[in-house]
Amino acid sequence: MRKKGLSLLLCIITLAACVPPHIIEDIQMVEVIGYDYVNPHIVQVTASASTYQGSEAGTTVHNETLTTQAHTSKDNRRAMQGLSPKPIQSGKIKTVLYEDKLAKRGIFSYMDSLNRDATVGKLLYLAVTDGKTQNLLAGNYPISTSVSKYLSDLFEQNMKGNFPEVNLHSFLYAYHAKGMDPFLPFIEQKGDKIQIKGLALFKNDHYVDSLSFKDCFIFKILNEKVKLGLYELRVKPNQFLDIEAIGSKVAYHITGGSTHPTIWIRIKLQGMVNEAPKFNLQSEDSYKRIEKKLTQDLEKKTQQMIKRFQREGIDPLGLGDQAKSQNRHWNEQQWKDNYPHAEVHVNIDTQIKETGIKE
Amino acid sequence: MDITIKDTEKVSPFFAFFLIHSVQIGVGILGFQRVIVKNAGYDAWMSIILAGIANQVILWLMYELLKRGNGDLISIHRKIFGKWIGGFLSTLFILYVLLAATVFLRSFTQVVQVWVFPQLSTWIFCAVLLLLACYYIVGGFRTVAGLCFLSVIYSLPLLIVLYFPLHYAHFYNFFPLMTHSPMQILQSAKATTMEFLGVELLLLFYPFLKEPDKSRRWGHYALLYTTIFYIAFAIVAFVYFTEEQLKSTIWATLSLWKIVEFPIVERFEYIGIAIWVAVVVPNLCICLWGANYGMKRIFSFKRRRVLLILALIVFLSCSLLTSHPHIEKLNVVFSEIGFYFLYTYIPFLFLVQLILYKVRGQQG
Repeated sequence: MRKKGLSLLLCIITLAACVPPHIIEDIQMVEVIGYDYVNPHIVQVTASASTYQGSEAGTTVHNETLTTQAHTSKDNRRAMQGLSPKPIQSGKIKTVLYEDKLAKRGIFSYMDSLNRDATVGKLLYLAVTDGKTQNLLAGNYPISTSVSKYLSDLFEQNMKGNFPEVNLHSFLYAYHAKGMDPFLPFIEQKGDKIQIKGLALFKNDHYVDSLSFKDCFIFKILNEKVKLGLYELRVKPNQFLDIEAIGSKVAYHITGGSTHPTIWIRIKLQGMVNEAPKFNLQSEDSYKRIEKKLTQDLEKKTQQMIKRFQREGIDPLGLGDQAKSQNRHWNEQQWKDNYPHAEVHVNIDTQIKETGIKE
Repeated sequence: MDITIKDTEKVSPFFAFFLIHSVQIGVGILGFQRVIVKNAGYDAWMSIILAGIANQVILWLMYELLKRGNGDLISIHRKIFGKWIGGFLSTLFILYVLLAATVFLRSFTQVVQVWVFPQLSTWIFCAVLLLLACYYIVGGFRTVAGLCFLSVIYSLPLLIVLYFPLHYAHFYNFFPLMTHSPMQILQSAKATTMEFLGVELLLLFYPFLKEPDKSRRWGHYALLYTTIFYIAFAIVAFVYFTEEQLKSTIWATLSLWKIVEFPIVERFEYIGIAIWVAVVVPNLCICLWGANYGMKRIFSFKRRRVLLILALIVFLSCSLLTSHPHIEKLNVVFSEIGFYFLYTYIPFLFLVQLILYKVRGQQG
């Protein structure tokens, strides 16, 4: 009898949960958050959540946005709680957007809550928007089920292709690393679509410049391994070749430490010709010709891009971080002073492997 | 004075591997990276190797001590220091083991509170886990050893999961090597020894091993495996985070799991924490079992009644620790005591025993 009583008591303790439950129908899961600039002390936060309504024709999904203004991000959440019929949960946040005007003033202080909250994942996407995030989030996008799904799919598929890979984790890594600056996607609302305009470049956590979407490929081969990418090569003023990159590797070598740095970058790129109108691929040296042209073109463009970073004193490629690991006496301040004048050598080795099913 | 343990209560020598390894892997591994990086930066992986080697030496000393003493720590104490002083020293050791149980349990409760259920009350969670531990302990030493075996198996998948963060690895972080002074690396090695604590419980369960001298190599394998475990978790965290990030990340291992995503599991850390219960409960079991067995040996108490009292002591001390700074402080105190116990007291005891046996041997 005593044993039975004891086991019953144990069951009650273990099975009657000790914490309040969160039932999925009774909470409001926020999926996208947008930050807009109001004035130096106040930030406007817009949260987008999907609401599901069942009817005879099936379940329909609606996008709802909640907008509040307050001093801090968590204070906004409190204010938002006052608008929402259900308690707000942040475990499903997939994307966080920052207005360009706000991003110019630094975004790190708004990221503290993302970084501290255990319920928020590290695989979430961040982006800078051209214009108010509120308008973008309130928009109607028939191409996808919800704005949240649209944004995360948009980023995911592009980062597998031409666009460099970036998420909350890599942003924070670049922000905290010495000799490295973060970058984020730069997006814009275009009618009932959302378009990636390019890459927003940061100095610490301040948005300073942006690259066009076309240049993202150049940035990507400089920054990471590429498995899939498309590049348009101009052969003659009116003739273009489309090259599909099927693999690339990049290695940095920085000599001279932080006092007299010289940057050596070596890229190996393998590609396929994808589209070659008005181009004779049958001659023996056609592969060689394309490779040579591609190498010249990419070497010039990568050089130009790095020169541009140097002029602005930003380092999205993390060259300083690399230099630090290659020199025992690396000094952050010295590097910052000397980086803009560093000599840059880019050596690109291209290899055209195939030309499709036609010569 | 010597003890005899029935063969039916003993376990095979290779169980020393599971017993030692499972008690060494605990809550510490969820966030040890921050502690070791503080002094030696990214050179801290060398500190882990150093700490591992030092631990092997101590384990060898313990085995020698136990072999010569032919019993457990309590009988060794009694032989060397006599009934009263020996008994007093043994009681101190039991208190230390109880402290270990408290630290393990409370630290894990804290992880659950921060990561999963902020509203969870400490006492109810501790009570449930303690009751579970008591239930196992009542089953005897063999049950506890079996549980340790299972916990080693359960923690294996977590090693495999370390593959995912490597997608974001910056392997060049390790270079240049040796940017820190040997002193800093040693300081980190000292901090790492906290993670290797638990091996001293061998001093209590030694008589429960069949042909205990044969378990030696299993004990050393266990330490080697633990060292590899810690190095793997440290290296992955080092290439994944910057040094500044690591210094402010309290549970680096759990933060690593945040990046793991499966089609059906969006957030792996919750699964990881749930699996970790299977690692923490055996920890708790061995410590409580050791304290219980020790109390019985010193004072000849009834085992079950003492077990409840011991569990109550752990329960009360866990409930009294209310905030992060308190737990942090207790962890520091515990690791200091553990460090000096292992690296000062054990060699001291070894020497005293050696001299005493030499002298007595000559007399007889």
